[in-house]
Formats: sequence, C-alpha cells, structure tokens
Amino acid sequence: MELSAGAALDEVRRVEEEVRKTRRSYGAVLLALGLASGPYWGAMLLGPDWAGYVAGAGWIALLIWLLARPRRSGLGGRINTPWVSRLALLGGVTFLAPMVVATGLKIAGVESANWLVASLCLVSGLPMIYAGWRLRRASR
Amino acid sequence: MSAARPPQEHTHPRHDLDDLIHAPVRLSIMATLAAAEQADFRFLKETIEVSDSLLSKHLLALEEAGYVNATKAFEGKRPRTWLSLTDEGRAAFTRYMDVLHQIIGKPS
Repeated sequence: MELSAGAALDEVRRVEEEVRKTRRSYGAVLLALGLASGPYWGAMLLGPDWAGYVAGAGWIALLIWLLARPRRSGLGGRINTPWVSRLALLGGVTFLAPMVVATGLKIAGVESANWLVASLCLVSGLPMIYAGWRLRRASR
Repeated sequence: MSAARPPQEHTHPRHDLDDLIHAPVRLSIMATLAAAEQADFRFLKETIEVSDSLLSKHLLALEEAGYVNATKAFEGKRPRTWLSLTDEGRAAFTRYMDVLHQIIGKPS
C-alpha cells in the first residue's frame, strides 16, 4: 500500500495524540491521588472520628471514580516513562509514611509528636502531585 | 548514434525516505514509540489496531534493523513486553520526519 507523505504525517499526529491522551489520563490519576492523600491521612490520623469516616468515604468515592473512568483505546496496555515510575514509587513510600510513623509512635507510647505526623501528611502526596502536574503539562 | 545517458540523479526528497519506516504499520510503531518513551505490546496493538502476529512481524523487522529494543519482564505471573526506540531508531525517525516535512514543504 502506497503511503503518501500527508497520510504519514496524519498517522504520526494521530498516534501522538493517543499517547498524549494516555499521559493526560495517567497524570489526572496521579494528581487526584496526590491531592487527596494529605487530607485523607490528616483526617484519619489526627482528626476526630467523624472526620475519619468522611475521609474513608471520600477515598472510596475516589477509587470508584478511578475505576469508572471511561475506557479508551490503549487503556488496556501501558506506556512507561522512567522518571514518572520513579516518582510514583516514591509517592507510594510517602503515601504510607504517615500511617507507618503514626503507628510506630503509638506503639512506642510517644504522644507529643503529632507535628511529625502532620508534616508527613503534608508531604505524603507531593511526589504524585509533581508527577501528575508534569505529565499533564508535557501532554498539552 | 547518441551517447549513453548518465544515470539520473534523484533529487526529490521522497528518495530519502527510510523504506523501513515508510510503511503503514512500521510507521505507526515508530511514531508511537517516539512519543512514548516505552510502550508495552498491548498498548501498541490497541493504538495501531493490528493483530498480534502482524505487529510481531513488523516489530521483528524493526528490531533486526536495530531501531527497536524489546525487553521482557514479568509482573507477577504475567509476562509483559516493553518496547522502546534505540538511539539509532530515534535518530532514524527524526531524519524520516525531517524528510516528510521537506516533502510537505513545511519547516520541521
């Protein structure tokens, strides 16, 4: 099949747009998780009981949103950008850090270190926020 | 009796198009991998909309030319093949795009 230069350029643009859409979509997921993680851990670990229930319900709603997002071509497969993978891995560590530290402090009987847990809550989502923001900016 | 004509020189930029890339499926593979640093086999298949066997055949041609690198990894028990452009492949695709833009008459 003869491929004209115009058709070739059109195809290049089409697949670039597919990759951009996938990146934007992944960036939105990372941004949502990153923005939600600080308030979630803050409410769960430092807030009153009712705040914990609201945070739990909010997290479940977020997961439902992530699962219910429209599927599109390519979604079954994956693309990978090494720096995003490294940031997402770091994001996993910082996400769990408030819970691990708060549990450790509780076991050790230290009750005066809420500032440490609060600080970890603040930074828990930063790697994912940064990765999501950069992905979306690069996909414009 | 007329003298034999010298071989005609090709000046049109289309003669500079890399034939290995300038084919529908292989072009789509190269363009996808140029835009995404790494893509798995399934992403390529769904984006390009071809069968497993056809995609494998063209990937093999690009691998043999040194344009594409394939890495197999296991995620749990599931095998996943990651594909990316080699430096040579990226350079070839950049040259190819330059030629395309010359043909179309637009600056790259």
